[in-house]
Amino acid sequence: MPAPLLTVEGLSHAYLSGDSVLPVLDDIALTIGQREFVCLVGPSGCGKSTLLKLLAGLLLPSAGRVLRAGQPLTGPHPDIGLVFQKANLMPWRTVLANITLPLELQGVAPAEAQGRAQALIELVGLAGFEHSLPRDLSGGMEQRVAIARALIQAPEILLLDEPFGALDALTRERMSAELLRLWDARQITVVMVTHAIAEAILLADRVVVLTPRPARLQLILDIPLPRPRHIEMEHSPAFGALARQVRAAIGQAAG
Amino acid sequence: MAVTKSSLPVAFSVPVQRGRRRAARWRRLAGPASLVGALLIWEAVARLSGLPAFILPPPTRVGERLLLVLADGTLGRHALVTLFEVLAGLGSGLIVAAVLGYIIAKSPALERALTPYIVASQSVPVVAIAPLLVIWLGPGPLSKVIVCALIVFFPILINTVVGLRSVEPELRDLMRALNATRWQTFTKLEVPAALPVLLGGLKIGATLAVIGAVVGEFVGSDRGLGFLVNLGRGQYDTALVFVAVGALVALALSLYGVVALLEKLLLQWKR
Repeated sequence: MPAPLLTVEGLSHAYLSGDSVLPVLDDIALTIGQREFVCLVGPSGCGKSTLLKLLAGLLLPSAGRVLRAGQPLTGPHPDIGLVFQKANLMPWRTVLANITLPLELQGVAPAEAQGRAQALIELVGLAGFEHSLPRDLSGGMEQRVAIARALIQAPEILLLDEPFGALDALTRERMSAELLRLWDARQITVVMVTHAIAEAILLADRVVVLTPRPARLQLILDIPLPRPRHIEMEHSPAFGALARQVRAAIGQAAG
Repeated sequence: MAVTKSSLPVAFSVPVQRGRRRAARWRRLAGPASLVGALLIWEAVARLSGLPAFILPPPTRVGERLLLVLADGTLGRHALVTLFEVLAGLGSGLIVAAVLGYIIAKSPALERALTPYIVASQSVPVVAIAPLLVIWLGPGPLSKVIVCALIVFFPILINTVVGLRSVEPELRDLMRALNATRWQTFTKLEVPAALPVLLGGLKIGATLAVIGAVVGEFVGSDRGLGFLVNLGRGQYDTALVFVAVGALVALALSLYGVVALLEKLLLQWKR
């Protein structure tokens, strides 16, 4: 097990809605190592996205804590990149200007920012679209821009919240493969929320199954499939056995 | 078979294209043509009906009057006064409305506290309080500027609030995740996101401001295009009234055009 990069200790979270308290996460403990690829799966509305927001420092937990490289996380950190379910691009900015936004906010010189963006644009396969506006991009391309934007501060950790949920099945498969390539090329740690079991198994080192709300850990499953992984692996008996295990865990959790 | 297939589109496309080009030319000429037609009918009615010129001056007479007031500088002088009042009123109304709109959009508590007063203030017709403003502030341009500002205030305020509320919460999350400062969120997210709606409000405001200036000038002033309308009426110089009204229309249209141009330049990312 590599050195822990993200540690989640006794994490609980509740939303206040009017006078009532809505518990969302209950006592989650998790350790994520450097260069690990972890997928969070669970029934929809179980609090996966809340967990990801807590890992991103966008929310502060009601109880427990998140440690990044041993330090408690108190807010958003440049070492943690975040990709939302929607590409979330600014429609008035070109592809290039959307990708350089994080650096622009940090006060990085435009020339340097554009140089770094250009390298990423090539990495995510958007060369030639630097000056296109989001309205001219397909859903898959928009999500590539979002990933490039999340990577521009060279984070060690990339968090993705159902990034391919809105894409068609074929685009989704291609984007999964691209994500694996990026993960390998950039040597980063990835935590991704998904509700597609096959996608989770194909991508992850470990799959974390959460129970319905309030979410607890139901199962943490190691995925011992060899790397590099290919979409054809989905038809192997080992893959099928793992998928059955995850599905059973989700079923048990749902009661 | 192959010959018919390939020759068909060519054979049909030539007349179709020619027809389309002709239709486009007609569309371009339709505006000027209707204007000329209307002027001709007006001229004919004015001459044939026997109505006196102080009731319905023919367009040729109005044209002569226009050349006269253009030549002696009367029109330019009065138009500049009204233009100044409109721009000053629009500018100050815009600033106050945008600042207040920002505060209201940010604070639900303030919104609840201020909304009743703002809505109540809108039920007071500005036309009716214009005399008060002239009494308090005198017949100079200041009272007209205030009338303009009052009249443009509400639509710009509402559009500022709506524009800021239309900023997607996910984009706010993004700015927060990127540790953006309040000022960065304002300049890089809120302003560009709210700009389309705000410019829509400014477009309405630009034409309303001209109305405001005329109302103010009607109530009491010795210069401005509104004053010129009044002057012409008093002297049975109806051609002058037409000239002044035409100048007001031109002023409102050009202001509208400036905002439309601004929209085109700033909102290229839309459509």
